Amino acid sequence: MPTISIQKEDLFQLIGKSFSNEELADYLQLVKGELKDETAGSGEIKIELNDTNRPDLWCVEGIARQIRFKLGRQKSDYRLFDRTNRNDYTLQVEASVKRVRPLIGAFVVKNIQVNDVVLQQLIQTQEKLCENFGQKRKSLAIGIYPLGGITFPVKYQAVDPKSVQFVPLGLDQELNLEQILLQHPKGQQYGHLVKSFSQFPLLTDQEGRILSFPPVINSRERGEVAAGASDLFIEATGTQFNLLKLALNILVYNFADRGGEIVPVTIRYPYPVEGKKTIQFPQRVRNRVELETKLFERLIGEQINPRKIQKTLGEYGCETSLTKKKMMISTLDYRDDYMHPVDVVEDYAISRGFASFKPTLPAIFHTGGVVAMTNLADKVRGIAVGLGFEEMFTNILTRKPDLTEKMMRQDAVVEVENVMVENYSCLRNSLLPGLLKIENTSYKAVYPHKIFEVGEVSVWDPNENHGSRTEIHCALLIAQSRATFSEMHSYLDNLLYYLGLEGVVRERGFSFSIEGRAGEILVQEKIQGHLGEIHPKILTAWEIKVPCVVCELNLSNLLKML
Amino acid sequence: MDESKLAEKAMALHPLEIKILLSFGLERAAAQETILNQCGLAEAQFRTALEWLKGKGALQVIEVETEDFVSLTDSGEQYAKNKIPELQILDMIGQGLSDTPLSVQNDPAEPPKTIASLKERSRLSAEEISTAIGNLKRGGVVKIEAGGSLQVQADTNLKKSFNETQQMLVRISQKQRISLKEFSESEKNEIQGGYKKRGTGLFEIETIKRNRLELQQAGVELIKILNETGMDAREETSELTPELLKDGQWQNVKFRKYNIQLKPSRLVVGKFHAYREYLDFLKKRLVALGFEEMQGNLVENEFWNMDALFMPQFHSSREIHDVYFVKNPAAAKSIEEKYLNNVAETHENGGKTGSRGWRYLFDKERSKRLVLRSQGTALSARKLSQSPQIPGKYFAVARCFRYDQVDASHAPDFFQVEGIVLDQNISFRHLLGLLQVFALEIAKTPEMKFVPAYFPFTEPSVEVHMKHEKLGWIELGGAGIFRPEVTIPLGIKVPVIAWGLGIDRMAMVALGINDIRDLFSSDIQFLRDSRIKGIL
Repeated sequence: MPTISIQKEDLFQLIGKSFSNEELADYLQLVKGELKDETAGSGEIKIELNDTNRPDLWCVEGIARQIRFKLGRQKSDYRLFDRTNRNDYTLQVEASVKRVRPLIGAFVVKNIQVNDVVLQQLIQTQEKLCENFGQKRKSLAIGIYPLGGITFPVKYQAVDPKSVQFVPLGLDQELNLEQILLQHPKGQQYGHLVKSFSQFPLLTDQEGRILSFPPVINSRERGEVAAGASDLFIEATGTQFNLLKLALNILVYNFADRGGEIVPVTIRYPYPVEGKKTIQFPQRVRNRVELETKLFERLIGEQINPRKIQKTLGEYGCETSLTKKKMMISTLDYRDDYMHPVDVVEDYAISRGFASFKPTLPAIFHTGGVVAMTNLADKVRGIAVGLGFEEMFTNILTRKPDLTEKMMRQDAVVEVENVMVENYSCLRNSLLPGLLKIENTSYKAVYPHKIFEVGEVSVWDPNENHGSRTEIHCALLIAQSRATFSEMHSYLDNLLYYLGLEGVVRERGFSFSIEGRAGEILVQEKIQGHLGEIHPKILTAWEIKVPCVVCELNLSNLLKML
Repeated sequence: MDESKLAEKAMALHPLEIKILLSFGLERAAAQETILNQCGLAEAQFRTALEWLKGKGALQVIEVETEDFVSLTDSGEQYAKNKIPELQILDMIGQGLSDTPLSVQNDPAEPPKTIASLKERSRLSAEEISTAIGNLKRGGVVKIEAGGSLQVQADTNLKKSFNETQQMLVRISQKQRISLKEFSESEKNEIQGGYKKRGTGLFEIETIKRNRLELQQAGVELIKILNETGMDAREETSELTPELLKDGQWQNVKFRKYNIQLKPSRLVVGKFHAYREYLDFLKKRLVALGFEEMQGNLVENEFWNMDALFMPQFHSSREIHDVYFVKNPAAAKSIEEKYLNNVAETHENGGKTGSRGWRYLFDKERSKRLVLRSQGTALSARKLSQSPQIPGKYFAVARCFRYDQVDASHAPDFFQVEGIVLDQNISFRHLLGLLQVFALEIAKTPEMKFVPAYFPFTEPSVEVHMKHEKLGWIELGGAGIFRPEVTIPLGIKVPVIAWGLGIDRMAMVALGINDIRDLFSSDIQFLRDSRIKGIL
């Protein structure tokens, strides 16, 4: 979800009207935008855009356009795709890029007033499109150049990384492409996109002057746009044709809204792209869907006059045509988000405003209920509280040594691959480490401590489809100067009694317990858990200074006996 | 003194104090001994209560005179019990002057006649025997005949005086302490000067102060009030015991008043965790609304966590910076084949859903990748595939995991409350209706609004914002109608509305905490102090 920073004045100028912040916040609902904060006095505001399928809204021009439609200040009569067969600008693609980065599209804009604000917005739009829409330049990277320094046709080719060198943006010295990957911040950031290839993409003009090294960095000499420029060359390279043409269209509309004249660029491919070898940009994007008019009523839940639907959609920038039972809806070429008729229903709802829908309750009746496991867990919690235990609630994510070394256990545990911090890198397989951690922290609380937790654990098991199994456990711990097995044993016995079960304890040694003072709990001759006095070596490992006795039960198994 | 204050003071009198005050009768002053005897209190209690009354200015203690009291030393006590050595010896040789049976070992068949045999058979020390025989000889009570045998002479005055001494010892021993004034001159002489020859001495003289108690004005007035109000000093007891109930003695006792304004100490008690109480409350509300619970695994595969929810495999929230991936095993063994094929087709070209799909090549291996459940909606997706009831309503309170830096507003694992409603006639307005109920019933907000939102799996999508009195506008949750691309591949042909509530912040408000990590605190003291104020 991109957040953009814009000048309020610029926005109001593009809309043709000014608003208070409250009014603006309401209008921003049209673009699923949220007014974040305003830098006092600077006129700069931040807006978070929530629709990842509408990249056209991630810029001040797109936001203004959507609001203009609602205000009736915008018509759909852009004439950006009138073909006049102008072949002033061509771009030649060489076969060498096919494997590396096969697609390129471009256009030229003229007579645009690039001031600081426009430049800043242009760079921001370029960045948001490449990062959020183009998967961090993987499927889309955009380059912008002053038109003046370029002789056409421009050539898009792949070259040996060491064969050419130029001064990249942001640096003073010439580097070859391989050096750029190593030394330039953008090279380090985006180098992985080309690194595995023997040849890297390169954009040069007719005279062989380097424009850029897509998708990494522009040349400082030919690829740096400054305020005051009026004519620009814009190209986009990538791997997905849909993205490419949509991204270029978004820029095309933005420039058009700022008064620029769009001049197409013809791309000549040595290989077919979308079935053709010559493709002129900008390309039309058909965002069109046909639906049964009844769908609106069914999804919204009320009767609606189709004419009103048409009007409301019109105010959202949609073109509609109505037949007897069906409606055809299309948008301008900067949108490509109609996947299903339901998407149009949302456009309608947003345009109409959510406040206009009267909430109503479904008439269906159900008795409702919790799963049996929840009933058991709640019963156990109630008994434990009645026995005087305080309930704990700890994180499921934990650190591996707490589950293994500090418990003297070697069981495999469910580990996270992409660890962020060591403290939260494993799923707990027992509740005991969590309770011992609490003891470690809580030495200042008045003793005795009688604590318990009922919660989920994840037990590693290669036989399971997911390699692990989620179980609900219950663990109890008593910490006091004389914490004994027999005390815990009687609590356990009471707990089982009130569950209607009878437990037998059979002596067994555990890594965590003192020998002869621990055992496993059998219910109906099946092992359901264990209890015992914690061994001093474990207490020492946890830096606990008070004797502890514990008990852990597998409620998921117990449930099967009830 | 102010009347009412005096009355208050009278009410506050301890029964011990009352007993002392009432013992004065009509007198304004009396000897301390007299009052002590009169009130019948043990001396320690008496002294304590006296101090209280002094402190209240009810009476004063005046030291008036001193008096000497005689008591016995240990030896004196011993002789009082066993007789003085002279009498013991006379007894042993069979000519005792008293009828008291001998306490020494005695063989009546053959009484000891010689000094040597006396020494052998008496418990007296040799020195005591020598001194005593010396005394007896000197007074002519016994004679030593040839052969060392002892012969008792006829009665002498001295014999009588031994007897008198013995009687005095017994008398003192019985009374413990006797004023010196009560003895005759000869006795006084014997006590003060005589009978010290035995080395240790038999008598002790102790000088005791005699106090006089004198009521002050406050005391007089208190007695007046006591008499007027009839307040008595029935025995006061601190607790009602089963014994008192059993024998009816409760009728004769008075229960001591407590200071009931003291702040009691907090107890350490068994208690539920406050956050769980909050989650329990949520569950209860949802069950009351007719929702049925769903449950699932912490480890989920990408198919159910994302693919089935129509999140394209290139979606940015599926990257390593948003989701925790499982290390080993990294992938599930299998995915339900039928659903996998349906979903794959839907992603690629819309399949049978009427959608154009995401238009990319779906990777079925990617679907098997295991993650820590990142959204509760995964449970809803699974439920859709498990032949749910139609119409049907389901919910889950699901622990979820996101790749987030842990801080005051991000916990490593958190709860999502999810739900779905399936019905042929369910609509967007029903969704808004349910969300409104949640906002009013669960979040208890005075004001709310619906805001357009985006989720890959719902269309239309909506967010509920509610006005919180402290936090201002906050997001309560997201919702929408499941896209046909979600429902149809899982075999559901009716519309499904889905919602998810963010509950952490509401719980934090209910618990009065500012740091989300405190929801999972490991500090017992903190947990003992934590609570939900009032009822939910």
